[in-house]
Amino acid sequence: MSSYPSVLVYGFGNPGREDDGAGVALAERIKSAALPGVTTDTNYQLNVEDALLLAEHDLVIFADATRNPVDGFRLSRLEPDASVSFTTHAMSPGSVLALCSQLYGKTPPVYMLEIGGVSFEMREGMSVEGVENMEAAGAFLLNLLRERNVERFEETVKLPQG
Amino acid sequence: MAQKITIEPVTRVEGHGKVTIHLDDNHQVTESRLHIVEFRGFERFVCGRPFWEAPVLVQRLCGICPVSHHLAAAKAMDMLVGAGDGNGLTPVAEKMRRLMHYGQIFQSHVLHFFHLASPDLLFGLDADPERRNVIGVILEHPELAKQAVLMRKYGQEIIAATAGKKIHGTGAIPGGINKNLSIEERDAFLHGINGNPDLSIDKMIEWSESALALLKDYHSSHTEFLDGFAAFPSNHLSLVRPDGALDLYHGVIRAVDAQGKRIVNDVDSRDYLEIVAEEVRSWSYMKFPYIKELGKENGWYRVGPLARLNVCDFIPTPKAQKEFERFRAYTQGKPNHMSMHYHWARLIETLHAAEMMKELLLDPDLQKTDLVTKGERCGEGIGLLEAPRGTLFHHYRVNEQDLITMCNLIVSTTNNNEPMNRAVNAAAVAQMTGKAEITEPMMNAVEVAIRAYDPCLSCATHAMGQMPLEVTLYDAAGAMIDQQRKGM
Repeated sequence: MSSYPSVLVYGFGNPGREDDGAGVALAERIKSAALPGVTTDTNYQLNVEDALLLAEHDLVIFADATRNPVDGFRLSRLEPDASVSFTTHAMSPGSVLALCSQLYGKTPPVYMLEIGGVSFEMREGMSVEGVENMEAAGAFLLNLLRERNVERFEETVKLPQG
Repeated sequence: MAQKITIEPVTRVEGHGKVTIHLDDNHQVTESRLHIVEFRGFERFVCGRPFWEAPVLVQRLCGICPVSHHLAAAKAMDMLVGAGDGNGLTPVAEKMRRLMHYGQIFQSHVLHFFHLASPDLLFGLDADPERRNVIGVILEHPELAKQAVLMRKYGQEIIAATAGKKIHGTGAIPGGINKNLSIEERDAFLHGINGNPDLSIDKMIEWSESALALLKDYHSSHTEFLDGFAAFPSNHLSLVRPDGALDLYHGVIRAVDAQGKRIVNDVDSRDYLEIVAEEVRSWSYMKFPYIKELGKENGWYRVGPLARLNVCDFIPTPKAQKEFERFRAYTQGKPNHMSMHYHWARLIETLHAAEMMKELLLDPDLQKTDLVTKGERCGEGIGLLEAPRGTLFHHYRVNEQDLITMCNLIVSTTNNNEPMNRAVNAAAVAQMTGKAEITEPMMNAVEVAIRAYDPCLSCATHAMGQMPLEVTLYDAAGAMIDQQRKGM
């Protein structure tokens, strides 16, 4: 078992697009818990400067909404996306991790917490299902963070979730 | 048999774009089009909402340039609450907004140059796409990449300090702002955020100059490419300060023709509807703006960094002014019509933005506390500014219940619709004439032409997401003979 002094929960998405704001809402939920050693950040999308943020932490959890079929939410280990082609002004989580590794020689453990969303229209507020999924994901993540054990993240991604 | 090529998606820009290229029986390019294939109707969505929500609501439009929409909407709301047309705010309110805006310009231009354009410039159009990306830049130019990250971070921190937060910023409100800049915040930006001297304003200026030097070096060794690629004459339109200075936050509307003759002469931005109209074409959701007096055929224009430097008389910061003089001298004072010189102009503006941020940070007005101006309420508000990609128009009408009844937006990328189509055609003529299939360098040539304009199709289409590109080649009978896709 190892402790970790510095954890980042980073939620991204647009809260003005219904369930697209699930990652941001989750990060705010974690922030309100005020766990020692855990910081949060949010933005519309990831970009190059976030590589520096990753390099400054020992464990990172990205939270984002997904249209993919997940049972409420899904936690998975993120690998650097070395074959990245930067197709937009934004970057994928794997690209940011690759950038962190290339620029700063650091590859902290990074996990992706995908939260199931069903509606992404230009409206403030999430769908009922989106809120349920976000709250379940938030409770799940809070429990993990309270254990303060990096290995538990790795064990958890191998178990059934949701 | 004549043919048609379609390219989809356009990589490294947002939204969903499709390029079609038509060939005749001799495999000569006859026409090229950039199609925008998604539309979300944002203007209708805003109607019925209280007007004071607009500066926050409009940030839903785009995750790339929310600050531009935030400020343009706030400027329109200033009019509604009787706080004047860009000249009625208190000094602290106007200067805080300017700091926010120049921070946005700075970080946006840096992202475009280092992470979207530099792979093409450093490795060339024919380079392996696995290498021709920002990771390739990092591997070969790690210090450059680290500088770019810190420059982006600096701009983002300026935005967070002035807008209040990164998402749905609330800094600008109708008639003013909701916070000033503390002494602690000011000192951090001046001397180094979190005590890091690499995150100081002087370092931002120094690195902006380095980036410009890099571009100029590249230009000297690739003159033919940068000068000739997708070059074509056009009108140019932007806001300028009434004395002719470059001003990205507020000004009068000015346009020049291809020879530099003034064709829109410093018109009050509230009168934009007398100057500009928009044409709808059946094959694209993105409209085609034009100067009314010149008509649809001849009235189209460029906006953005290249247009701004063609339109203004001078830049009111010393280092950028020297670079501006070199830029203008290169075309003997005449308008510069070279699409790839957008990159040059963008970096001059990056330097100007850094200088402006320093000037503002040193201004004690930023610590004043009179944040809001109030006046006589009216029913209509118009806010224009120069966003990173060009002139941005916001126009609202409200009823007596304070609800928005009309919203009209002309975003920067829409203003550049016709020029982007022409740039695509120029690249297609150069790359695809006589060809019956699409190669990787051909695809990239078309993308490079579009990327020079740094389009934000999230804004233009009012949709978020990636910008996949499909290029399809058609013959004269309309039969598809080749198709390539990226990013889908």
